[in-house]
Amino acid sequence: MRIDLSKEATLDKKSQDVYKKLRIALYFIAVIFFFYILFSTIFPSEYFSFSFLNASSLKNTLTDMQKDDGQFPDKGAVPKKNTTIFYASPSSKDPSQVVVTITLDKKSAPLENGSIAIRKSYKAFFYPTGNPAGENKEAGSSKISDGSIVTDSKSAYVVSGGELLPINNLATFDAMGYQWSDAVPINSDEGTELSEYTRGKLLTISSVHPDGTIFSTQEDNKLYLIKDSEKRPLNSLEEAKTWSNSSPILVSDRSLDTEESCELQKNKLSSGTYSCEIPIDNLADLIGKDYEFQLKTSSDIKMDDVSVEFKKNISYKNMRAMLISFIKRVQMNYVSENIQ
Amino acid sequence: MFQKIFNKLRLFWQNKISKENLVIPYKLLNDLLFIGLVFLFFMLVGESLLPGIISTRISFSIVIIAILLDILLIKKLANYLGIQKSTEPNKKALIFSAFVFAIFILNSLVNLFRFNILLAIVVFLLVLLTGYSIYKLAFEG
Repeated sequence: MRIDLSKEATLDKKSQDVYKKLRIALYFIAVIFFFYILFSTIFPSEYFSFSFLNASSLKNTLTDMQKDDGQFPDKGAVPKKNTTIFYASPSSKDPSQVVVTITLDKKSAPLENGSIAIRKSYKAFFYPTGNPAGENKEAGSSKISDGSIVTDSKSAYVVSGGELLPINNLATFDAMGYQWSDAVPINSDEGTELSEYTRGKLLTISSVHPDGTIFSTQEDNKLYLIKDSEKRPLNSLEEAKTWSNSSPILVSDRSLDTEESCELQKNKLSSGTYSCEIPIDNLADLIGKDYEFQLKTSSDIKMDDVSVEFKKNISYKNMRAMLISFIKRVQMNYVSENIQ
Repeated sequence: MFQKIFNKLRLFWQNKISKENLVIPYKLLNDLLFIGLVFLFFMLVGESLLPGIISTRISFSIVIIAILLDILLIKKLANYLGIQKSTEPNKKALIFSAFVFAIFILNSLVNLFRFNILLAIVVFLLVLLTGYSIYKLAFEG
């Protein structure tokens, strides 16, 4: 402790001893805080939430909140034996655990036999299966088929329903399973053939794949066309090509049957709060960016908030993966021309 | 009741917290300022390399407000205790700060250098000039 940052202020011997002890404590706290920030950077948690008190807020990051019947649970009210479904789309790869917390309204009945089940895939792949799509009878028309990826000087777009849906960034493009080899360069300026397409809603990491997307299962190459909130089976790749020129997006058939679950427990410190923690390592090798949560309860409840935290385990493997991703991101910043 | 509490606090202040006792907080605030500046430096380095890596966890504004509050408290305590601190800037620290400042600016202009070198050089020189003017105002004005 030779370095004195305030030499102009002198202390007697007794006060000097007190100062030394307090100074050691201060630096100790600073080191702990530094390591806390370092750990939370290397093993980051991602938080998602939904407040029924402010359901239209842009701060709500849990998406597609709905009941069994597809209706939004108005003011957080869910009848008993009903299932509430919602989604989270974390940007970090392979989180190890999920903590789900439900906060009930003060007037709500207690949550009885509450449970949470989690599946992982793409939101659109969780759509109900519809009738076989068959061949596209409009195939061969001059229009660009739905589900195609096009790029201009500004962005990459997915063509769907006469709209160009811009993709917000590279991470979303990769997370949605698109491939650059499918991207067709276009000229979207006025007066060109694509000027008739209107700019649609921005596709973010939490967006659903638009109509025209074709999924192919990893296990048995089953093909599905996404259309009108259904996934419609296709019989062959030839049939699929009549709908879209882009390569099918890979999905895991197992995603529909593989789930992890936990029982919601009442929080000891807060009376209306219930939470549970679920290890999700078993979902790591399933393809997809979206986690579907199903909340089941045997009592009528009224929720105020739902929050989800994705955690990463402190392990050498996770640390290595995170450091490699840091290095790649730094490389992207400085030598982006050389990286595809 | 509030009068009683106020009187007790006043007595405590008069009896227990002497000027000598306040020198310890003064010195600790100086240490805290050093810690805050080191933390801000690492934050800036981290953010320069990977934007958002730290600011998503702890906001720049919080750190800067905390540092400014710390400086304000040090100044108030120094006045109260009659401590005279040299206003002459430390030459070594100044050169180091100027060097780091220039690197941070260059780093933030990396992408601009790729597309428009002339504009990047003009912006770089203007920022340096602004920084120098602020320094002159703060230490010599």
